[in-house]
Amino acid sequence: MYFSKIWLFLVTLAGAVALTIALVMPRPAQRARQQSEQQRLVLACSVVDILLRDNAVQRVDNVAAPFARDLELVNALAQASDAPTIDEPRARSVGQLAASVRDKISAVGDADKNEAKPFVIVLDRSGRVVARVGGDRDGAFGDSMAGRAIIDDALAGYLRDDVWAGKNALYLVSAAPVVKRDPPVAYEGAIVLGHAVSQPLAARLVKSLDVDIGFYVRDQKSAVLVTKTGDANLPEDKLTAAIPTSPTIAGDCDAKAIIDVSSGDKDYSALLARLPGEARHQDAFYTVYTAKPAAVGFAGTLGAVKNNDLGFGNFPWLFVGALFVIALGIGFFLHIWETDRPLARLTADAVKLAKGDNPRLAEEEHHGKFGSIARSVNTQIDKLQRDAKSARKDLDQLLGPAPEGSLGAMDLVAATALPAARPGLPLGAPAPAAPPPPSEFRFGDGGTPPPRTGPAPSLDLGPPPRPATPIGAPPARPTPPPRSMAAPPPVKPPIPSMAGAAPGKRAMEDDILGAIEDPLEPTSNAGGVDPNTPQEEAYFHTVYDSFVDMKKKCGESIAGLTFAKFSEKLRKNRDELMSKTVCRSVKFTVYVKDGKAALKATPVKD
Amino acid sequence: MPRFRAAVSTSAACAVLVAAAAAHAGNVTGKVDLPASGPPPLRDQGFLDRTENPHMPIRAVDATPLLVVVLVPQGTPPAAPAKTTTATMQFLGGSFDKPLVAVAPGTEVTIKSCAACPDANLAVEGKPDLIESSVLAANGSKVFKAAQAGAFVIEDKVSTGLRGYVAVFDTPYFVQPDATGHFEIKDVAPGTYTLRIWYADHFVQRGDENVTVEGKRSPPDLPHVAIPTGFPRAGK
Repeated sequence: MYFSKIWLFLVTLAGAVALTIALVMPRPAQRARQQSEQQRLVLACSVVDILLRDNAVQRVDNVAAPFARDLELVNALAQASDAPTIDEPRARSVGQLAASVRDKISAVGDADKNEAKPFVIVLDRSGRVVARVGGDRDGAFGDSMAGRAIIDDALAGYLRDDVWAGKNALYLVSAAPVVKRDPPVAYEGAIVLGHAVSQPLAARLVKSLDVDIGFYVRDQKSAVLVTKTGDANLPEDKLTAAIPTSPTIAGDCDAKAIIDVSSGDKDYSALLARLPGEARHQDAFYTVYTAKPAAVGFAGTLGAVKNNDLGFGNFPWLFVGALFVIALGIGFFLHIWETDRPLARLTADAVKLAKGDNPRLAEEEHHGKFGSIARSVNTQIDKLQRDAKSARKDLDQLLGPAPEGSLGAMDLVAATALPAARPGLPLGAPAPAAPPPPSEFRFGDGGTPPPRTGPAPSLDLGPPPRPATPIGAPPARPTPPPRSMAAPPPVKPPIPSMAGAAPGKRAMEDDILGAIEDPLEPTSNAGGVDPNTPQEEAYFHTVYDSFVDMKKKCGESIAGLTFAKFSEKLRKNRDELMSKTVCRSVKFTVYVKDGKAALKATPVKD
Repeated sequence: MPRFRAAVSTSAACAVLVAAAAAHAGNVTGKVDLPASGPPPLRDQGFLDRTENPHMPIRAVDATPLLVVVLVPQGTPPAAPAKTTTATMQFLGGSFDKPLVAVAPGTEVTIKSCAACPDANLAVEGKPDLIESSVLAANGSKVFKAAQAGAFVIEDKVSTGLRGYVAVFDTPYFVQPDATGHFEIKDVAPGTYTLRIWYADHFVQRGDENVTVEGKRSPPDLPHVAIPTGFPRAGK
C-alpha cells in the first residue's frame, strides 16, 4: 500500500502540474501576443511618422520647384508687391497661374485621385495674399498672412512645412519663397501649398500597416475627430487625456504610451503622437490603433488547435502513449502487489476459518493492514472463547458438576449461551463435539451421546408447535396432562408456587419459552414452587416425566436416570439459582436442543 | 472776496509747480543694438527642418516691431503725464498690422478686421473672457481693456498661428524703437530708472542700464542698448 500511495501521489502531482501548465501557458502566450501587438502599434506609429515626413518632403519639393521657379508667377508677384492694393483682375490672373501649376503637380503626383486638390496661396513680399486657389477661402485675396511662422520663414527665404489646424480640419502645408533669379536677384513673395488631411490620405498612410489611424484636433477642451480609417469611434475625451506632454514630440511613438480604449463592444490599443507645427498649439495629434487580441485562455488555446497540430509529425504521440502505458502498468502492478494478492490471501484464510479448517487466522502470513485485520479477528475469537469458558464455569458453579452418566443437556441459561454462529463456524452448523459450550450443562461427564437415529425429537406441546414448553405452563385443556410424551407436554398441572414467571419477568428465558403462555401458571401466584413441599415433589415429578419422555423421544438412553437423582439435582440447582438470583422460585422447562433433551431453569422473582 | 483771492493764489501756485515740473522733465534717447541680423526665430517647426533656398541668402527678420524700451523707476514712482488710453490693432487675416502694441494700464484696445479678412474668433491667451466671445467678421471690431500690467497675447481660436501682443506697463515711460532701433522717451520726470527691453511677451534678460534724469537736463544718449541673441526671457 505504501508504494501504491506514493505512486498515486506522483501521478496526481503530475496531473496537477500538467493541468497547471495547461491553464498557465496561455497567459504568457497572451502577454507575448499583446506585446507583439503593441510593438506593431509602435512600429506603425513610427512608420506613419516617416510617411508624413516623406510626404512633407514631397510637398516642399512640389512647392519649391514648380511654383517658385515659374517665371510668369515670379513676374506677377513682383508686380503685385509693388502695387499698393490687390485688385480683382490681378488676383484672378495670378490665381489662374497658380491653378495651372497646381494641376500640373496633381497630374504627376502620387496622390490618390480621390483626394481633394491642394489649395494654393500666393503671397507678395509683405505677406499680402495675392490669390487663393482652392481650400475654404478659394478666391479670397488682400489680407495679410505675415506673422504666421511658415509665412515669415518663406518670406525670409526658407523652404519648410507646417501643419495647420482649422475648425475640424487639418492641413499639411508647405511653403517656399518666390525668388526672382534674373539679376537683380530678389525675393518677390512666397507660395503656400496645403493638403487637407483626408480619409484617402489617412488610408494611404496605414495601407500596409494593418492598423487604423485617426487625426484629431482640439476644439475647446476635447479632441475632435478630423478623419479616420476603420469603423471604431474612439472616445475623444479619453484620447484627449492621453495626449503626450513631453517637451519634444519626436519621441511620442517611441514612448510606447499605449492606452486601452473601447468603442462599442470592442477594445482597442491606441498610441498617440502629436502633430508638429502650428497645429501643435491646438493639441493636434494622430492615433494609430488596433483591436486588442481576444483573451486566449485555456479554452481559446484549445479552440485554436488545428488538426495538423495533433498529427504524428507535430505531436509526440508515441512518447505520450508510452508514458501513459508505463504509468498505468506501474499502477496496476502496485495495486496487485500490495492490495489484490494480500486480500486474496486473507480471503482464503478467512474461508478456512469459516470452514473450520483453521481455528484462527494465520496472522504471520498477512502483512500491513491485512495483518491487522487478522489480528483483530483472532483477538475477537480469543475473546469469545474466553467468554464461553467463563460462561461454562459459571454454569458449573451454578448447577454443580454433572452427575455420573449422561443424563443429557440441561441448558439453564439459554439466554446467555454462545451465539448460534460462532467465529469460524457457518451459521447453523453444529457445534464442535468438544468442548461443549459453557451454556450447556450435562448430567454426567459428557460421555459420548448415543448416536442419533433420526431427526432430533422435540417436545411437542401441541399445536402450534413450540420448541419448548415451560413446565409450569397450563395445559390446553383443564384436565391434568397425560404423562404420555406422545402428546404435547402439558407438563404438570398448575402448581401455583411453581408457575413460571409472568411475561416480561422472564429475564432468563429463551425466546421459545418467552413466546409461550404458561397455562399452568396461576395468575394469583406468579412464583415458582415452594421448596420442600408436596407440591414441589409433584412438580419435580412432572419435570422428571417430561424430561424422560423427551429423552425417549430424542432416542436418548435413560439408563441411570432416577427421579431421586433428578429431583436432588433440581433441588440443588434451584437452591443455588435462588440464592444467586434472589428469586422466589425456579421454573424448569424441558426442551430439545441439538437433538437432545435439555432442561432449562428460569428464576421467578415475583 | 479774500477767500476768492486765496483760491486764485492756490491755483496759480499749482500751475507754476506743474509748469516747473514739466520744465524739469528730460528726454531719454538711444539706439537699440539688435542682435546680429539673423534668420527669423524658428517657430512651430513642421515635420522637417526648414531649409534655405539656394538662390538668395536668408533675409534678416526685423525684430523691432516686437521691442519696447521701458524705463522702470527705482524707488517711489514720480508723477507722470497721462498716457494714451486707447489703442488700435488692425487684424489683417493672419497677423496684425502691428504685431505688438504697448499701452498703459486701463487702455482700451480696439481690434479692427480688414475687409478681406476671414472670420476670426479672437481671444486673449489664458484669459478667454477678456474679449467678447463672438466671431470677428470682416470690417468688424472687438474691444478689450488691458487693466493690469503684463502681456496679453491675442490669438485666434479657429485659425492657429495668429499672435498679436499687447504689452501693458505700469510706468508711463516706454516706447517702441523705429526700424533703425532709435528710440526717444520724452518728458521723463527727474529720478533714477532702470532701462529694460521688452520683447513680444517678456522682458529680455540682459544687463539693464541705470538712467538718471536730473532737472530739465536730459541724460546722455544711450547709443548702444545691446540685446542678446534669442531675446532670452528675464525673471520678474
